[in-house]
Amino acid sequence: MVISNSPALRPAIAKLGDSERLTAVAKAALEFDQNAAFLDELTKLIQFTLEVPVVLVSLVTDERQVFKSARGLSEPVNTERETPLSHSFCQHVVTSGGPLIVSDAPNTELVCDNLAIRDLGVQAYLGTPILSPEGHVLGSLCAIDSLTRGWLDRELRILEGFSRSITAELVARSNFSRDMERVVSRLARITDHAPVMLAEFDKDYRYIFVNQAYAEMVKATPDEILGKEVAAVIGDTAFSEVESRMRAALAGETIEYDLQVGDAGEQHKYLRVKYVPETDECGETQSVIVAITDYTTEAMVQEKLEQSRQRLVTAHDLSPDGFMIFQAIRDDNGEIADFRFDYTNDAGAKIAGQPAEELIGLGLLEKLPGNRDEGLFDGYVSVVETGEIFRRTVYYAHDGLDLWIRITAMKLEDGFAVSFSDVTKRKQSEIALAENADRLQRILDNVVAFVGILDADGVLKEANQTALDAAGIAREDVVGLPFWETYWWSHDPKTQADLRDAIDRAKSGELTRYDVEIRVADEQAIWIDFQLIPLVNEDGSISEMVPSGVDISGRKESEIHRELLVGELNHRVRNSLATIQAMARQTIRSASGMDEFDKTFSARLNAISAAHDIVMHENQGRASLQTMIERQIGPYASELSSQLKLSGRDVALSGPSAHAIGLVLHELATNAAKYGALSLSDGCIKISWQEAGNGFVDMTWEEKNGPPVSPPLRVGFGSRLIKQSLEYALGGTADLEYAPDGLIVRLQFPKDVSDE
Amino acid sequence: MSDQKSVLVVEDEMLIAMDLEMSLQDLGWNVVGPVAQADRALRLVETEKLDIGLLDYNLVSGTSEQIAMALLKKSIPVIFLSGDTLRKRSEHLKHCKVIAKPVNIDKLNEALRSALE
Repeated sequence: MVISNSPALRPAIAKLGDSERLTAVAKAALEFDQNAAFLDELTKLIQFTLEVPVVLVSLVTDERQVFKSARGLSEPVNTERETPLSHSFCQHVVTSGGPLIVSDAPNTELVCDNLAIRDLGVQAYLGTPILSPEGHVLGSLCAIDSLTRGWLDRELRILEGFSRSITAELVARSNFSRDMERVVSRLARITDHAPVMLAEFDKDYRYIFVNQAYAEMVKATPDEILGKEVAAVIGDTAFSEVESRMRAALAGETIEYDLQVGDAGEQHKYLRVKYVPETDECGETQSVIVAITDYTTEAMVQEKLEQSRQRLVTAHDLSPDGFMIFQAIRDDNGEIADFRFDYTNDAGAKIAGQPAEELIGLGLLEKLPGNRDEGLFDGYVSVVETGEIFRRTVYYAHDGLDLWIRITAMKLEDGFAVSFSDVTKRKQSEIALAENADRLQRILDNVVAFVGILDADGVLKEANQTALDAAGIAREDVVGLPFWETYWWSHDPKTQADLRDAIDRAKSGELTRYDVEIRVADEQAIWIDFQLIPLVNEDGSISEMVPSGVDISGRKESEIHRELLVGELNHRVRNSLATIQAMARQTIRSASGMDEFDKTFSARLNAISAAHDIVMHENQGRASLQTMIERQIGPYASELSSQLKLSGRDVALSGPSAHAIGLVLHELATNAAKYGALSLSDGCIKISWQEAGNGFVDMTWEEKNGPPVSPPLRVGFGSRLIKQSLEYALGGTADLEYAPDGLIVRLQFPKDVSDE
Repeated sequence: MSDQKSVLVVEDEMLIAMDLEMSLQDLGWNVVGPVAQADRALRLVETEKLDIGLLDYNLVSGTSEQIAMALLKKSIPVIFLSGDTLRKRSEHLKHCKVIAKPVNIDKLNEALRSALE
């Protein structure tokens, strides 16, 4: 929205010479002269608040500016209290109708030539318009600094506030004179109905004013009395009794006397008469005002008053609240030094722990000095000085007392009345309650579970810190929302619908518990075991519901992990069984009978099992090639050291590589034991290997000193298995050479075949 | 033999592959393969005359679904072997028969024959 500068919304912008404005300035000048103290207080306050050397209330005419209040001016201007316009910054406030803010006058185009810079040392100027009640800009309320100064927005607003208070004062004063006229005419109307007899007579003892009551007293109407002489109205006898006093009043004296009137058999009337002389400008008494009050009933009133005082005292004595009245004891400077006990009821004396007779007449600080420590004494002083009511609940552990008291003090004459009660029990239970609630909150905030409280409609009233932290939100983000609209549930309409169902069930007293995925910080989701419990009142209605949840994402993950493991295990077991089945069938094919099958199949199973052991027991599922050779060949060599020569730096094989090579070594060893080098005690096998690069291993198996070798007539299972293991399973090569001196097998295989 | 049928065997467990090959040959099948790798199998699907595919579902390099798709595209029926019958297969391969490991050779033979009818 753009705030328009429309003249209707702005103070009247007047040229300096506008005649209406000049009239307003002249009128304001008179008002300001009568109100100098107010303006001086104001400028003093501004000088102090803004910390500026010079503050002026400046009225601007078409030829000069006049200072109606000035602080910090140097001579001679301080005495002259005016300057020509050549030295006036304030005129710009008048012509613009708005504030003038100058931080560095010599470098501000509008005022750089102003003589005030040179002659008055003005460097910085902050001025705000002073408006008349009609809206004329009269001049400026300004703060002036002799150094350059960047004015703060806050300072401008302070100054504007003071400007407005000057205008408010002008408005009040102009209202005042109008009000006076109204008051006078109203007074006349009121006096007719006042219970006071009023009259006024002039120097010739003729009535110039009577009110209704006075007329009734002399059994006439005001019209019949006005203009008549006093003697004619009240009778010569009566007049002779009062004439001397009336004369004295006409001579300028104020006269007061009591009068008893009444005929025999009638109730006497007791009257109090007062004559007040009215003087003109020259001090001459022109007339006398007569005021007569009938105090016949006053005696009765007095009696009634005493009665009600007595009742009040009785009431105070019955009250469990303490009630006391104090009068100020002032020192020589008029400052309040202490308060004197004037009155206390029984409860007050009891709470104070002292009998009333030991308090009355003595000083508050004298008897209960703890009042000073608790700041109560200062509070009471402030009550007496400002008239404002003082309320406080304090813990009072002084003067042999130990209690919580709630105090209300009110100004009464030059002192105060105070009512107080012992709220120790209530305060203690409040404190206990607050401590309990606080402790509960702390417990809830520290439990690992998410806990909250819903009202009976499912609106979230409270959530613990754990739940808030998980979502990365603050209490105020969620408290007050329907629970299903809070952050945790906001990711999925289905989840929200389920929660609303649970809340509906809780409304009918039913507990709901289920696993659910909720939204947490960073757009993550976690599984919780969620429970919603209704809190049921004695009458069966639901007061609140307590939602709680435990993070089970760990459990969920391990459930999923376990399912994967079981699946994997199932897969492997079945594969192993299939492998063994296949091996059994192949062994049967080449076996001559059950005995041979049994022997060969068992040996092969052992070889597989040994390979598996090595893989399982060595580091991270990798197997040592050397260990594998020793384990597979060992059972067939009678003298391991002499029959088996190994050379090569040990190589770690992956599981599948080790399994395949293990079985190959087994087949080679059984073959050697049956037909080759291991069938003779002199025979030996030399196995050498080395890494060939690219992750492959070259291995050579050479048999020596065995029986003569000739190629087999048909390809047996063993040699097929060797070739297939290397080529099919490992992607390597196997070369079998039936050299006459002994079998030579050259294998090349990768050491790192993986199984998945 | 005109009625001898060709079966593509894809199985990466060497011993099982050897056994399947010999057992199926004994039962009168012409065994193409066996092969352990998907790319080799796919090459055989392109070049060989095949009547049916017997595929181990879980291969070291992944599943044999791609091979099955290639066979089905040529209207060649597929039977899966699997150690893990619970594992989920793609929706469009749900109709293919799955035989659990370890395999009863006679049952396998029966399943292969009836798939060709």
